[in-house]
Amino acid sequence: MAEMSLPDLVGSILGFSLTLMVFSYVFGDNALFRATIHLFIGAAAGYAAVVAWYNVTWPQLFLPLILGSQSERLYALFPLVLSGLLLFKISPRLSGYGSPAVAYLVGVGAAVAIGGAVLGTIFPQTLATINLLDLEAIRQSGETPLWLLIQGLLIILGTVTTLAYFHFGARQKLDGSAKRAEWIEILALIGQVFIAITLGVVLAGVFTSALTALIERVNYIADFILPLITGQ
Amino acid sequence: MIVASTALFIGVANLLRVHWGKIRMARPGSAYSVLLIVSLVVTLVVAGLFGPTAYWPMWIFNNIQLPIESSLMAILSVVLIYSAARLLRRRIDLFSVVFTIVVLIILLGSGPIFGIEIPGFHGPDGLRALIMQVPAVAGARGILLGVALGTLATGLRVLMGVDRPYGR
Amino acid sequence: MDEIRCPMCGKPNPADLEECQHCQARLKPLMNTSDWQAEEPPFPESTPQPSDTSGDEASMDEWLSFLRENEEAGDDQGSSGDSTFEWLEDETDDESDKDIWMGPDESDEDLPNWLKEMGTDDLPTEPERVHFPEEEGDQEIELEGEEEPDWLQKIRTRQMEESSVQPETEFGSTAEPGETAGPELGDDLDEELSLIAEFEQDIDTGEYAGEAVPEFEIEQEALPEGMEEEIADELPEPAEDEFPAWMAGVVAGSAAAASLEVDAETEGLPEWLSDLEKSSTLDQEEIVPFGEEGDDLTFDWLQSQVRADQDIPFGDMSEPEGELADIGPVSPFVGDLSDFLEDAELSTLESGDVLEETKGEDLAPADLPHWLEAMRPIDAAAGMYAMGDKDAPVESSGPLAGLQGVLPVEPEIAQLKKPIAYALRLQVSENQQAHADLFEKLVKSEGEPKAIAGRPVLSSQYLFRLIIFVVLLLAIAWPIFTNSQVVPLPGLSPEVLDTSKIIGDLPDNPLVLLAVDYEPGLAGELEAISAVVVDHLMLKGAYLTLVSTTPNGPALAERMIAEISASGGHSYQGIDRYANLGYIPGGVIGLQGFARSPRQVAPYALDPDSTSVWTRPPLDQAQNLAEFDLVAVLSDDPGRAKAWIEQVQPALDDTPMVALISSQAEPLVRPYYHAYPKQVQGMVVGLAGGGSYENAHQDLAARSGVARRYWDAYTLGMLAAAILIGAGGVVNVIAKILETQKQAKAGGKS
Repeated sequence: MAEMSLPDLVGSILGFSLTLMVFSYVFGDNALFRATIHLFIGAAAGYAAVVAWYNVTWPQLFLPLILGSQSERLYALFPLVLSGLLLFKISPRLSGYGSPAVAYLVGVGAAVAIGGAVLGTIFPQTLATINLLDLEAIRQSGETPLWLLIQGLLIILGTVTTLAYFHFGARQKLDGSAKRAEWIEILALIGQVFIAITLGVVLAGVFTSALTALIERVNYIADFILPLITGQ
Repeated sequence: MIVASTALFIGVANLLRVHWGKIRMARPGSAYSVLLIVSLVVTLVVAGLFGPTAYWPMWIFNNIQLPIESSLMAILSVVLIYSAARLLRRRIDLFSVVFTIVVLIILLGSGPIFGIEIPGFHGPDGLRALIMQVPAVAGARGILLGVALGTLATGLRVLMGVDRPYGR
Repeated sequence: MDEIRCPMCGKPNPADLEECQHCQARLKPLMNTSDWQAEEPPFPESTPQPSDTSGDEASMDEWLSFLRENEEAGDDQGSSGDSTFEWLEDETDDESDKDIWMGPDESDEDLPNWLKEMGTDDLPTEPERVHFPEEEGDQEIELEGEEEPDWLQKIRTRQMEESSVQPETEFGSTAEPGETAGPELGDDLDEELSLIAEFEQDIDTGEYAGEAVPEFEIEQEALPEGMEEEIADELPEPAEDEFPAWMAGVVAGSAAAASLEVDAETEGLPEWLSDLEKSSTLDQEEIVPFGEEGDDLTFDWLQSQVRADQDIPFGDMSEPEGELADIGPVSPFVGDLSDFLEDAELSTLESGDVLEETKGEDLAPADLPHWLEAMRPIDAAAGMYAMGDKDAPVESSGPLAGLQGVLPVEPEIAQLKKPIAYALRLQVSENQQAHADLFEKLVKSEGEPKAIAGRPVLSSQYLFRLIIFVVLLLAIAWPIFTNSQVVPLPGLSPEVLDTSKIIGDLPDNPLVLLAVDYEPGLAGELEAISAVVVDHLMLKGAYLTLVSTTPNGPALAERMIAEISASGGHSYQGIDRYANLGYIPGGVIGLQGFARSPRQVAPYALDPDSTSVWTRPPLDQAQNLAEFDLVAVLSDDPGRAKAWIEQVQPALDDTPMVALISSQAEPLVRPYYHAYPKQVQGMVVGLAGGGSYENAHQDLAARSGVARRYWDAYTLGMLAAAILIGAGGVVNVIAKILETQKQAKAGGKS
């Protein structure tokens, strides 16, 4: 183990201790785990606030107001007013005055989300699904065309049936019940299979990430303990 | 972005208010609130004085925040295995069986088994890769398109004033 | 001090009082009755001995027999009448004397002499003129006592036949038939009642027992036109045999009194006596005795009162015969009267022997004067009683004692009544109380926390979790602690190959935008990926521009650069080698703005020495993101990765974008990689991707090799997880099947 400064040593001990305290949750909820969580939340919130101040609020709002030119000040006036209104959200009694700022954020966010959804997902993904049957692209890929076509058809089938599963429009029958059309029900059933496969892959991926984190933590513990044991 | 950073400040302020109230009212668990506020204030002071990427703020980040968050993610693996194992006890149908089989295939196909890669199972042409590239992509694409269409509809409703999540 | 019993209420009063202190009735008659006992009895020839209370019938018989003898005596009624009414002349008060109105005690056997000596001899021969108080329409009714009236005969005969019957009433005597002269009625009603009481005493003494009651006859001429008919219509006709006992006494007394000559001018006579005439204008034959009813007159008003006293229901007065036939002798006075009046010594008409004798005789109804009719309380009450007011309270004191349905003196509203005691407790039935209790339980249970069944400390779930943790930990710890690196790294995957190719094709000192958008929790996985990729970029001499949309990104970026630089031997320090632009707030909004104008959105770096990084090389050459050589997105979240792809990738033009993502983000990012045209040109996914990249760049793996270090533990961990999931799933399936079978058996048995 390399020579460690005192802060690093203390930090290592602290990290090691906190790791074990979190692992104690396996045996059940306890005070050590709760204390660790609260410590983490406080530190994370404080660091986030400092980063936001250092990165955004101070250089882009207050500095232009203080040291900036007139145009920069005017430019900073609008976010200043909105930020001031947003601060009213802290008080439940005066939170109504912060609604305009929230509305501005929601409106801009909705617009950006629409643009991104349409230009970034709907068009490209639809095009990608269509192009699965592009023979030219298949030929250029160098792979077996039949196999690619089958894959393409399966992808198209999966995509369409998955979308059909999320179609919940139904007509109300005379007896008051609402049920989807039979052909949509068949497509939805097939889509459920694809969704089950996708969600299985997602779960496996999440577990993989968690397992990697566990490996990293165990490695961290090993890096702390082994030098103490071996003296290296 | 400035307004968004202000929203972050409001979130931190609300966190302080809630836990300060718990301390003042001496509710159960107020000792934890004391620890939270102490850590927040210390981090604010240290990072504010030295900067977010200075030594001591990074020391706090590397030795407190990162170990805790990584450990939380690590114990998630135990929970995920437990929930996957009990899935079939709660419900046995086609979809739960397909789900479990896919999970097993992906896990086993992620790496060699005892150092042995099974042909047709492992590798870029193996079963795992095929599942990842065809049915998973199909399902994910359908989900992405569905999410995009929902985002489009919800965004239009917000812009037209039908939904008002910001209040009246 | 001696006490006098009130004849009305029967309560004792001091002897010196003239009026009762309870009901204000006269205690003493208006004459001096103290010496009358000592005087010559009016009927000296017949002096019936006072009889015991037990020998009532005997005394009644004696009284009646005495009356008979007097009647046979004939015309000496005048003198007899004089002698008979001598007792009335004496007005001296003698306190020591026994008052006539004082009822005798039960043990008192001393009867006045006049009662003993009274006989039929004193029966008046001439009808006596009875003077009533002068009122409108008052007419004198003359009593004629020339012959023994039929009613008296009836009374006598009844007494003789029923010698063993106990008198039930106070008055039951009958007067001798032939005895005329009814009661000498004075102006005052009280005096009349006192006279009646006196006659009752006569009956009690048995002086006139067995004697017929003289009949009274009222001149019908005295009545105004139409009154006879009215009287006849109103008054029911009592049966002949229902002659009340007290009426018999009254009649007898009246007969005895009628025989006396009353001299109004005689000194000492009471007022009412002075109005009496010796001759009676009444035809005794026309006299209708009390209890008997004629066509024109019926004394049913008096009879009704008597019936009330005797608790005899007042039925339909239009059918008196049947009722009266069933009704025994009745007393006109209520039960509070003096004992002597209630004494059984008074002859009664219970047996009806005397009346039976005169049953067949028709008696002419007497014409009551108007004022007398007005004084009939029973008539007024009879109508009420006829309407069925049988539950009316009985007046217990006063002149109307014994009457039922008397109007109260005070209005009801003024009467002090005890307020109704309302129960403080709510009056609910048992069923209502049960429902209320149930509802209360339901409401209370809402606020109460539901008791959770106690769990065992070591449950199967807890043990299973422990087993999973232990197995997983062992599978991971062993390769880590043993630094095992025997498992070969994975082969090159297409996405990793593309990424490697893209980076390899970068020019020297490329301008690379590195988006550090992951959380510290997955720093281990992303660092395992980024270590080899970023090392490869560092080898290329790339200027790394670090940016993040998370607040922790700048710190993670700094950490990553420091570690990789240290492990790879690179000197990436300061603004000359990399620029940490810091945190871009707003999520997709910030990315959209950064993609369009990165200089405005992120004008400064976190380096305290740099105020504006965009004016320094090489960033001064990049006006927008399309002028970057490569955009690499390090993300653990599929949403953030998607946001970068959606918002930034369209603005990149030909600049490639690679995704260095966690395994959990792969499913939702891979479609972008498999799109045509590709939106993501390369992907390195998870530890396997990093190992694959290291496998492709062995020189890099030797320096950084994080994936190599983790790979053995990773494969063992994945194998252990698969085994645990598989085994646990099989066990749970078997348990589920067994549980289902058990439930099916239990359901089948039930």
